Amino acid sequence: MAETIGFMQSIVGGIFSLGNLSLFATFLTIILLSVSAAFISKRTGVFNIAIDGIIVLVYTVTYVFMAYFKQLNGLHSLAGNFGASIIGIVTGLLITVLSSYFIVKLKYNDVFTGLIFNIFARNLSVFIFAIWGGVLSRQAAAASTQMLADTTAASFLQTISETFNVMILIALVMPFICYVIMNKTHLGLSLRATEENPVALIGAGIEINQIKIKGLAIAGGIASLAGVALAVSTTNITIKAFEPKGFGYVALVLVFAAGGRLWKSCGYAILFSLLFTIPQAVGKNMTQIFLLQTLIYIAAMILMLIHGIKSKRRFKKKVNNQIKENELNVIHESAERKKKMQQEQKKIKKEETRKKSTE
Amino acid sequence: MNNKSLRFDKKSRIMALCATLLLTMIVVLIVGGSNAGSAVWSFFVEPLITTGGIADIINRATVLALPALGIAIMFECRVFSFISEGAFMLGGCLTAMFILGSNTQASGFLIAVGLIVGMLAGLAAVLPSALLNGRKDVNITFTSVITNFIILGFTTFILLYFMNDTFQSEYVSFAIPESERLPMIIPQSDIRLGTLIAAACCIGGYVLLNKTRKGYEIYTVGASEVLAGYVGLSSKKVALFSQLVCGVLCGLGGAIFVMSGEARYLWAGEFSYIGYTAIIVALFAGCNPALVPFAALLFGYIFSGSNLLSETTTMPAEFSGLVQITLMILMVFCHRAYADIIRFARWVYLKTCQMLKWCLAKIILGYKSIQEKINIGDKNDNETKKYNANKKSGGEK
Repeated sequence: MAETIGFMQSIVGGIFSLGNLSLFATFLTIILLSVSAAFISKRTGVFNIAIDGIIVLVYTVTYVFMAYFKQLNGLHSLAGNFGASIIGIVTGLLITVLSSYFIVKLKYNDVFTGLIFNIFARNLSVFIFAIWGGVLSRQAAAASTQMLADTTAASFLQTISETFNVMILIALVMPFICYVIMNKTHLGLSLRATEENPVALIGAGIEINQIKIKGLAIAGGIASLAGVALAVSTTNITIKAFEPKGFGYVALVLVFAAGGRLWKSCGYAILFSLLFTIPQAVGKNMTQIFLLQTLIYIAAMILMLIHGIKSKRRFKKKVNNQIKENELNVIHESAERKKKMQQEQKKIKKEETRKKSTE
Repeated sequence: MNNKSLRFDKKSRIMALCATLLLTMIVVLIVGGSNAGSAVWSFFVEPLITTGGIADIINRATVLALPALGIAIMFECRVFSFISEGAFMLGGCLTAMFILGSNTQASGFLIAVGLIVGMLAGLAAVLPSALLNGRKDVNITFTSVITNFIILGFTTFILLYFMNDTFQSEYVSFAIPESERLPMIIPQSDIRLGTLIAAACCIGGYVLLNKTRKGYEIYTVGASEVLAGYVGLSSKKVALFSQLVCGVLCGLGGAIFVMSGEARYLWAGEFSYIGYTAIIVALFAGCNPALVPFAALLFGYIFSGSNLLSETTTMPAEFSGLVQITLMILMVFCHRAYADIIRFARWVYLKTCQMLKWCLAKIILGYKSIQEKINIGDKNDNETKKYNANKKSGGEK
């Protein structure tokens, strides 16, 4: 018994160690930012799966430029890393503008546009790694240093402590910013209207396209921050293993499963950050980690299934209520009609009796 | 979304192709540097004139054509699922596992069963998302993408746990023996039976969509679910059928990939991106089964050209992915903004003409004005001469 308790304690202690807590914070940062981006893009009424591609591309660009600036200077420089992040965010915004132009202006299907830009981002990332990886490896070989590794030393954002960086603060504040944007600003309110009733807005003479592009740009900017957070937190990289686990897709699933509600989505984000941490914390080798990661996506499927069942029930309830209301109305109306008929009949009888009496 | 929006007209297709080739040519010329000629030759010409190059194009097209055909059929039904990637990977993985794990000597039987295993695996990959969408109305795009990630984890586990070749530097499966691969149809060219199967499937897909009752049902549901309901069709059943066909074809593609070419299962912890590229191929073909093989051949040509380019220059083979997706982006742009492009081209043409006219006029007018000045100068000279002569003669008088 004591042995079992000791074993359990060691497991719990392992899970709640400082290293795993920082891992959890990293995943929370990325997923919260992705969820915020997905939430705003949902509000625009666009099914924007390009978020995943933006995260991938920004991650690649930021990472490669960080490594490049680091090699240029020899030491880690704050300005270099900050510059790399800015380059990454600008790249993300460019891709966002391009994809929103295809969706909003050219009116191409949003799912296909998202897919095309995701594949574009992935292919461009692979291409950049193939070119820059080669360049960097050659330079690194000449300088006999390790290539493309250990950006933790270069992390300009480590201001809180050695394990947590400023990005977590940005991520924690972001849902509140999104809330304020959505509920207190003109743009946010018009975005909500765009999602709920675009026809009314067009009727009112409001330019929908501009609002949509602004909303998508904000979403793209936040997704770019998620990409930067991913790049900052990555400690080691090879060209093959840079797949960022579909954070954009997971964020979209969480927002849709939460029915587009911000705080519920954030709750799911915390839950899924925990789920993402578990394989890294518990898994001892690559096989175990991949098998455990599968459970995260199964959880996402279950979440969607629950959402589907709930929404179907809600829909059925609505329909049933409507039917009941209609039936009640019909009964009510028929009762009123009967009353009226009876009253009319009484009147007619009275008149007839009067006529007879007068005669 | 109307199915018409999946189609691209000839003009936009040609325009996008020309623009992409032009851009590629410029990039290749820049990368080639002093060897620009040989770089252009190796990318554009070499794949088409060497036997190895042609075989490479056909093999790559074979792998792409089957999933692309399945996707074309599924998209015709307006089911926008991305399950092709997962079905392809699961088909390949389970086929490799089955063949590597079997002890049978009868290779022909093993190959046939291997193909069937691939098809069944594709079917199994499609079922969860199809059922969730059909029964519970869960979004098919999300379910398919998430299913892809689940399949990725599952296949990686199978690869690492059961068939990892530890003698290789990367995580890949053991090679399938030559006797258990698909037989070659043209000796010494590495073109195998899979190509014939893919061609037959393309013909079958065309016939299914255009000559059978089921095909018309798919078209009807794709055109309008409401109309299909009035006609008496169950749109959910038809959608499920189209997804199952897609799964079978993608799984078959995976099995054929594993049983030819490198004859290994190659992807640990990363997507093959063949299924996703097949979506682009299907979209490029306008979801028309008759055009799918040609689109697949074009994409195979780009793959092959990039590979050959990477051998002669410093450009990596990953360049092909960039060219393919640029082609797709340009095609959507050309299709959607065709009128704008034509208007812009006309504007540029008119402006250029105006500029040329202005320049010519300037030159001619400038020339004329100089001439005039010269003439005026001559006239003035003559007049002054006359005046002087008159003056002189008057003075004398």
